[in-house]
Amino acid sequence: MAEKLLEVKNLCVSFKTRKGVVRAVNNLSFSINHGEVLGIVGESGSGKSVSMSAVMGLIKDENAEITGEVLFNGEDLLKKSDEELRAIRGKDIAMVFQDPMTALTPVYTIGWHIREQLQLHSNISDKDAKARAIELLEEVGIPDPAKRVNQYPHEFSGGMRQRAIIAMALSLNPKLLIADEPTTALDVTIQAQILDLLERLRKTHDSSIIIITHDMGVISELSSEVLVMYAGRMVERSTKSSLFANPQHPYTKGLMNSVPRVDRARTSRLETISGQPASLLNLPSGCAFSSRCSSAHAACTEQPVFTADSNGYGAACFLLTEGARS
Amino acid sequence: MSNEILSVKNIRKIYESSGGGFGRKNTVSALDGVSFNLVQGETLGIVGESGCGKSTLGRIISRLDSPTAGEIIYKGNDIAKKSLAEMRPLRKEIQFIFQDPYASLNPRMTVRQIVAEPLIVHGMAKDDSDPQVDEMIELCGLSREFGNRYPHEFSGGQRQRVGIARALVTRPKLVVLDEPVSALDVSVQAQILNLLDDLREKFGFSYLFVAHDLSVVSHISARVAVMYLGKIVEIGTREEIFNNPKHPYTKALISAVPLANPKLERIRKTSRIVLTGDVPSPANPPSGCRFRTRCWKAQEACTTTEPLLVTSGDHQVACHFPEK
Repeated sequence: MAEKLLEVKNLCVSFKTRKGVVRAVNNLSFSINHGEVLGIVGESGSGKSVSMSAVMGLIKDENAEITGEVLFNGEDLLKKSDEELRAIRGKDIAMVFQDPMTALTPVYTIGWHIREQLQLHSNISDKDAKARAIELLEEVGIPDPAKRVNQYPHEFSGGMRQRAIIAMALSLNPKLLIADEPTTALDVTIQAQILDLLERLRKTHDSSIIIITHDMGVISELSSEVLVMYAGRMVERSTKSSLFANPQHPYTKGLMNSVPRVDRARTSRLETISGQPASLLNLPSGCAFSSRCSSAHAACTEQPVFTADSNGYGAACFLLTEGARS
Repeated sequence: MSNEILSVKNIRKIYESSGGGFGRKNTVSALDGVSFNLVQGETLGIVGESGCGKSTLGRIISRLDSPTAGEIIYKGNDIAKKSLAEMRPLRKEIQFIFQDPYASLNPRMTVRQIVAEPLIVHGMAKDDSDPQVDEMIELCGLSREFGNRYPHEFSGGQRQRVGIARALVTRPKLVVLDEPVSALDVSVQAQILNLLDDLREKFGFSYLFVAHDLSVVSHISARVAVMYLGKIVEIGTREEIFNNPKHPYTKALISAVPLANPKLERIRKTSRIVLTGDVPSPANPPSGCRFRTRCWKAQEACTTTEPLLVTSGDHQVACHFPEK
């Protein structure tokens, strides 16, 4: 299908460690169309960041094993050499990382970072590259860009660094932007600015965005589709509106109810999910969530199959296939 | 009020650095005249963005740091100028819960030793076999057998329970919590918030809850203080602050929180106040009202005169042009 920009099929990532094999991502399949925003939610260790690193070809560990297919415009990225990948990374697929404090080299100016990106992928003179860098900084809302372009990362605040990184990511009009917790390290008023910026840029550049987050509020604000991960597996996939109106998987329900919210009257207690997030080192043979699930029953000792409708929306839970909803 | 446990008056904290070069000194005024009261059994939430002084305030009230000026009246006595030795007997009554459950526990001590230490230091127990220790471990939702294990064997949420047990084992009157759940996953965060609430109800602790997350603060607090650049700009009951914010900064802060509710989010997105720019440096705060550089209502008066906290009912606000 021409429409699909990125299609991930049966992606598995595991790491050999001294303590055993860590299965970080298990059988992940999803796709994203042009101009769409896909949100990936999950807690730490759910495999959301690792799966995106695998998509980008950023996992270089010799103890890592990656299987499956990552089709970008129909070509499998996992089969490409480093050199071929380098031509795609930055140009067609760009990534924004969580921590704006460590994503920039402290010894070079902000302008250098953007120029390097531009010159790596196109034949552009120093002068033009610098002019373009100023344009980009202006586009992401950095005041006085002509002066700022010559400054070093330490002269920028956290929010401004994240803007500069977004400017870098957008410098070559990527078709796909992967943003890994782009606002987690920022204050709320700055977060609101960055989310607004991403939304505006999606409209003007017509890029697709994958946003990884643990914050349901960010998901509700930005994404059109949502994928929920738990212990390396996709447990639910849905459109934003139906996910919030009618979550299917017990984990998704629990996640939504356990977040305190400003827009609700205060209840004396929060609903909780009991226990701790599953350890990837020794995952149970059955449903990984069963030990924390209030609706767990005999069937849950086996791995539930992800049952999806024709759009690929659905959840991996026996309650749904049995039709015995709690 | 008779059951007032803490009354903070005009606290200032100035940090000096030698960063100016040629022997010049830079001064940063982290807290600039902060005053509030806390009643026994109440939870006061302190919110604000990074650099607003909320953590400094928590550290000063628990006297992990000393104020440059001002009074901290704890149960009728000013503890602001007390020496370390004079503070010692009070430490069991004023306890602190830290943000990072990985850095705040000694990796070479077992959980039982960690929880027992405050009791031993204050002469409330001879050693870690004291029954109060296991009782507190269990009250914090950990099983007794965990007492013999070391911190590295636990997840973040379980470690935070150990940190809570250690702080509460001496049955303090006042507990300062500095971002106690921000390092935790959301599903675990809810467990810890419930635990803190249950323990407060059971033992009548007063909490000073410092956090940047407005939803968390709105859940746990009875009263909320909003800070900006070393000052309290608004303080009031939870309902007043969240339903009827009067300071433009409070309003913008609340409207910046993304809601986990797409329908409401769409309506609100149109009325969202997006503040421009960053928080100014506390080393060089703007004249007059400190918020004026980012405020859409700022006028002439805001550059010249600093607004004071003015009381209206159960709500105080420092703004020349408060919202109606």
